[in-house]
Amino acid sequence: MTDDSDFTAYVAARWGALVRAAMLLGCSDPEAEDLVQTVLERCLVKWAKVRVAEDRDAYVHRILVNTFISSRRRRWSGERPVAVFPERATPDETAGVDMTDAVMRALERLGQDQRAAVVLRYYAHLTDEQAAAALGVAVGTVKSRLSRASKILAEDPGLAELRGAR
Amino acid sequence: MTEPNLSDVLDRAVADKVVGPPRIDAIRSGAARIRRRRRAGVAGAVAAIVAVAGGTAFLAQGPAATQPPVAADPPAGPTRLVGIGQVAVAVPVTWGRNAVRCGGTPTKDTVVIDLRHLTFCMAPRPKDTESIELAGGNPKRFAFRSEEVVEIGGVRAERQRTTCAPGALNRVETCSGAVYFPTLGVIIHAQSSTDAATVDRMLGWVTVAPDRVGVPEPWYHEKQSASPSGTKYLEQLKALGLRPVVETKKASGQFAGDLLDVRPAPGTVLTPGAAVTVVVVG
Repeated sequence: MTDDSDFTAYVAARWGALVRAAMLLGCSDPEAEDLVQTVLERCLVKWAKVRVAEDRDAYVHRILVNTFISSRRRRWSGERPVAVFPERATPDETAGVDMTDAVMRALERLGQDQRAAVVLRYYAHLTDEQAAAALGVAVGTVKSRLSRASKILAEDPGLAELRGAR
Repeated sequence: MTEPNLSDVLDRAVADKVVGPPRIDAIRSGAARIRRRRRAGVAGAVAAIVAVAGGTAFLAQGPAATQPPVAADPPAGPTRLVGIGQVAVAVPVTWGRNAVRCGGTPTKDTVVIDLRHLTFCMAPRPKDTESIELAGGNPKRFAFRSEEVVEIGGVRAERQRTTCAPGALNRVETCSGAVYFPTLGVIIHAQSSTDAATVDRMLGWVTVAPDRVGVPEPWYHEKQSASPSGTKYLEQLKALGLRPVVETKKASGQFAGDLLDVRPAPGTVLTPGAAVTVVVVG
């Protein structure tokens, strides 16, 4: 058994959840898999450190969030001017019946920090302490971000319609 | 919105998303690349990104590569090797060979090598079509510019960065990039009407295989020498370690010793010492 044989087991167990977490953070579907691949490459390089980390999931999610934020910065710097503006996205009238669409639109209303806190806490099911470790902030900061985010999401018309439809 | 409610909503929002299988091999290759690059940095060497699967290393002339590293992953699914000398490219078996029209415009995903019968017309390149052209001789025929130094299979090569431009006829954006081996005299020119990343990925399929020899394209000798083209080609085959078998054939209007045909076709990858039949004017 190689030193990092447990890495394969970890990837097999968490790949799907990490890719979906990346989607909720704001990645497109193909981009999410690329992002998680990059994250896990970095984790494997430091696997000796990750495997003995007090909280492995928090460590991996921290790299996930940081890599995602870095990818957004690179994308911005790589923006190219165009002669003709692309079609402008307009609200989808079917948002109320499309759950994924409604949730993604609602998440887009959050700030990046709030969105990351929501995804880590409510999708990845990290505790407040784990989410704080993953985000590199105090537990109180996580709680306040979640509180504000929950308020915004509770008032989101798309999600409200979704709740009404259930 | 309550916690259980929000967790449930997030779970359901992405539950139906299709996720591919874990990319464990690619992750391991990527991690190995990072480790090697770091080791190279610690040693004070130039920055290097080494591709494990393809044996490809990317050496930047500056402190950091400005181009995405050459991808390490070979194409998914079954592949076949196409090469010239020791330089080879693993392409999907579904790709065509010289599936082009007019001045070399691909009609489907294809390898292009030893194009002789071009029609001088213009054809728009279809969208989402990839092509890789292999050629010997002077790289300037591709308007090649050496912009970075790379190392592939231990051999120094020069990389022209991938750039994109809209097609003149249909405005379909086509991206191009190339790798040139000065010491081996081979250039690999990749083009994609999908995106630039596809070009970089295709150039990651390039390998240098010392135990394989690709049958070279003979036809660029035609205008380069006063001696018969067949003679020059035989010399080239011998220099590459192949065993030329000469057949002669009458051909009116052509000079004795000039090349008529090569079997197997240029681009076929053989083992050193394999026979290549060269048909010349008798």
